[in-house]
Amino acid sequence: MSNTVLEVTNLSKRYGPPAGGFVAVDNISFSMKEGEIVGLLGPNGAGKTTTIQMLLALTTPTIGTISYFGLDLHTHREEILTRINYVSAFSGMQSRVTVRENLEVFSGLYEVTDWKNKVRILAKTLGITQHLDNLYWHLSSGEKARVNLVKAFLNDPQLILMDEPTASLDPEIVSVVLDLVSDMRKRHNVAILYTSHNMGEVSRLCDRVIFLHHGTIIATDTPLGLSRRVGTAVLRLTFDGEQKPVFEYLKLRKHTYHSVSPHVVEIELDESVIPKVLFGLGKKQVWITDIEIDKPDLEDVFLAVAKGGAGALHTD
Amino acid sequence: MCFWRLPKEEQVRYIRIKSVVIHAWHHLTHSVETWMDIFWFPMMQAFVFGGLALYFAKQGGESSAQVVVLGLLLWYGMEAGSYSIAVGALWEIWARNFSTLFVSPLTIGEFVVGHMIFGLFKQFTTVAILSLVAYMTFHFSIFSLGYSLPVHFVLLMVFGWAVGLIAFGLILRFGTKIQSMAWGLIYLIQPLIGVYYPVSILPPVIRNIANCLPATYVFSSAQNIIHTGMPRWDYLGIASVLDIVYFVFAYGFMKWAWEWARRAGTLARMEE
Repeated sequence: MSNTVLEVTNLSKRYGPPAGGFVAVDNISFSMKEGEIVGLLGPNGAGKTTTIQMLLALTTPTIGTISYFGLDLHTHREEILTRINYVSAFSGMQSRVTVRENLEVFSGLYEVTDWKNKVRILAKTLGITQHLDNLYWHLSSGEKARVNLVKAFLNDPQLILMDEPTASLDPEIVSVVLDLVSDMRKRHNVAILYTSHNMGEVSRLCDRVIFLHHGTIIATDTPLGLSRRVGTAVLRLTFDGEQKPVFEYLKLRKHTYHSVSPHVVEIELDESVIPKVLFGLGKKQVWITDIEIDKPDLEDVFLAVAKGGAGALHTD
Repeated sequence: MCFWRLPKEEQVRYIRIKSVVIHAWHHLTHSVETWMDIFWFPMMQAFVFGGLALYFAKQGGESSAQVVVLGLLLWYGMEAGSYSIAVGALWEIWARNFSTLFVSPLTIGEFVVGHMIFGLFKQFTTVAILSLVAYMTFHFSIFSLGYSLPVHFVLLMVFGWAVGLIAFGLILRFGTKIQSMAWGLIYLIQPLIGVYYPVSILPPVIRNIANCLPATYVFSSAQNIIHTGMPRWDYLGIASVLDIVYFVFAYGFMKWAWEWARRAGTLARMEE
């Protein structure tokens, strides 16, 4: 049985005076198991950044508790932060010193033994070996992001908070990073809390997604489960022969459809009944020559919530 | 007690403080601006004030000349402490490294102690170079302070740390819009504490304020050595007590500002 690495209970953050103050995070609770990759998603202003700042002890919660590995963050900050790490495309390192010197310092802060060897291996994996003796400020934003990732893996963390780690990286390096993250999970059972505006990355990596809106959790589900809540799939069929048997069958089964052209029809339906429809039309001797399925994905969830709020998601 | 006999928690604390010192050293070795602040500007001041001292000496004011040169050396000893903490923190904020440091196990106390230790190195180096310039150019030996020399420097250093902590606390509380406090706050104090002249020449109201500052007593004691050959141990005693009061208050203020910034969420946005 996997252990809980992070437990957030009734966490809230209110900025400013209580009367008329701004509530950034409103009574959220969630937990993460070891080896789990969880996406923290939401439109701008949803409370993701404040939540991450509280999880890193940079911001104090108004109420609620955060515990890692069964230890309270408030009372065991140093012990916990030694066992986790953080990476963001938007944070930096000391720009006036070299990459190696920066990593030496963070190795000391995270109590990393044999840091030279570790830096060498991670730098090779992330393709920054040639930059180790360059000043940090001479690096491009993509190179800096990779150096930040080396720092994030230095202490063999049990949990990593990743705040848009691949922003500003080119696709080739993004793929390397995502593979590295998957590999770290596989080999070291590291848990990862991941935020990104790239829904493809989230779908590829995350076991579960927590969707925030106006500071509250409006849904927690797998990426697939979440995308199913936003609407139906669209099945686009191209067929030979007459329309009549096709439309008769769809009418009988009470499907919503419309004719795109004499031989093309679009049907709105639940993803799970697609095989049944195809089988049924086959039995009616309809000769299907092309099938296209347009399924809702996390991108649709994101856009739906940004436009329509929590009400845009169906509850199961 | 040997390092390896310390409790694990204390060993780790020591390693983190050492990392802050190493970090400050790496920064110093690459930053031309820091070298300018530590060596170039003090050297230029040494020549300006040394020239002034020579003029005084030629006018028959031998002891006044010595007061000016000694004041300069002691002043830079004090400034190094303040500069190390407040400007050291600003360098991290400017580089967007401040929050990266504090999402690691590093505590604010360890960060400050690391910069205080590095401040000692800067103080020693700056004062050593200035002393050499003063000796070679103006034939002034800092060792004329005798065995009380380290006491004067330590007391000024502690007060410099306190000023640096207050400047850092103000930056934490009000953000980088008041960043000039990091190097400017200590210069608000300079006219009050009688660096280049006895405080007795100040107007009574200002003299009363000066009497509340430990550095005033340290400079007065040093000036007494020039005039009489003996330090004022009573003044150094008062300075010690005031140093403790100021340091405790400054550290408390900085900690309060730190917690305030965490509550207000501004700590995480310090670099924006």
